[in-house]
Amino acid sequence: MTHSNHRRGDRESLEGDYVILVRGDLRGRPDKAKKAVKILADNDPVGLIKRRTGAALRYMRNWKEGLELRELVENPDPPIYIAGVYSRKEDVEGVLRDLAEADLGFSVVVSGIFDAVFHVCKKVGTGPHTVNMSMETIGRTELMPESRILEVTTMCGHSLVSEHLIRHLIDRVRKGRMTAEEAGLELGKQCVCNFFNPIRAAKIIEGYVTMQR
Amino acid sequence: MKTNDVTGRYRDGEVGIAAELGRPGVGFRFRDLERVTVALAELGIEFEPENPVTVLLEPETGRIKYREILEERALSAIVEMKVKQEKAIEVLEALKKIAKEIDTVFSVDVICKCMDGSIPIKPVLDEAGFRARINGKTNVGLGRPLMP
Repeated sequence: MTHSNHRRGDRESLEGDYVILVRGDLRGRPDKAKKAVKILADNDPVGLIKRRTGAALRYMRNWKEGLELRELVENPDPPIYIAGVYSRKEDVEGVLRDLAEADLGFSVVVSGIFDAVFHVCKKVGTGPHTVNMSMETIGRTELMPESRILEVTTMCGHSLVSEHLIRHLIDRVRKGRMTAEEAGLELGKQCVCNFFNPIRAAKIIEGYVTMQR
Repeated sequence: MKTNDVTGRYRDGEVGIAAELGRPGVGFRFRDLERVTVALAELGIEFEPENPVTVLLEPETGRIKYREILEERALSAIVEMKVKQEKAIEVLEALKKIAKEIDTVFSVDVICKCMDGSIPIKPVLDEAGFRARINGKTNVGLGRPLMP
């Protein structure tokens, strides 16, 4: 499964988009898993998910009807995996430094710009160990939406964020019926893996609306 | 690759390649998936045994065993394989060629173990004209085996 590998955008946009995934035997080592959840939560995530038996626990910043970060951290259920979304490189550095110091032994994967992630790795004294590179998309590429829309849809690698919903919400933002931030959040709710970055989506939508004007 | 620091599934000199049929967001029919897998089987590659698509395939030919599903549509399916580094370009060329004959898109992944902080396959890809995006996934090597 490569649901965070093909996030599209230019360097400036991708500099505000990172996903950190923690995998391994989290259920077998619940105390360490709890520490990992706390580390991800303490470094200002835009989103956080704890996948467990039953419904996953999801936090998204500014999602009033959603779970609070504190509730997710305090939940006692052992996770199958955990993942956080971050909009700043410094926060990624904080997470990796804290995880390295805690030496929990779980595998950690960061999705983001390679040179930025490699730089952080060097600073905190770890990897890189293995990479998964996103190559081109080939075939009938004319079936795909335009690049600005793809920048939003590809933040959910399972394609649960519809291009039609994006266009609808862009239209609402353009007409002043909702803010770009509200649109980003609405789109983020569709991504049940919670890898979607609503902050970045809002910026892309804002840019799209400005361009249309 | 997510747990390669623990499992050692990809070792030095090995490259993982995946074709994500229908992604992003286009979807595909299984007859298109079969075109891809037949083209790959002709190169003599071995499909990843733990991938759920592989159970649908005849390993020698890449043909789908269950002919009744050929017209079925799905949102995505990942064809996955592991090859020696020297074989990687041949596989990527084959994918590029078959992409012109299918009615959908696929996104390509290349997985590789790093060496001294760099990506050994990257210059090989560059030289052959295959462009990797600036972003992707990095396993940062914090995993430890359960039994030391």
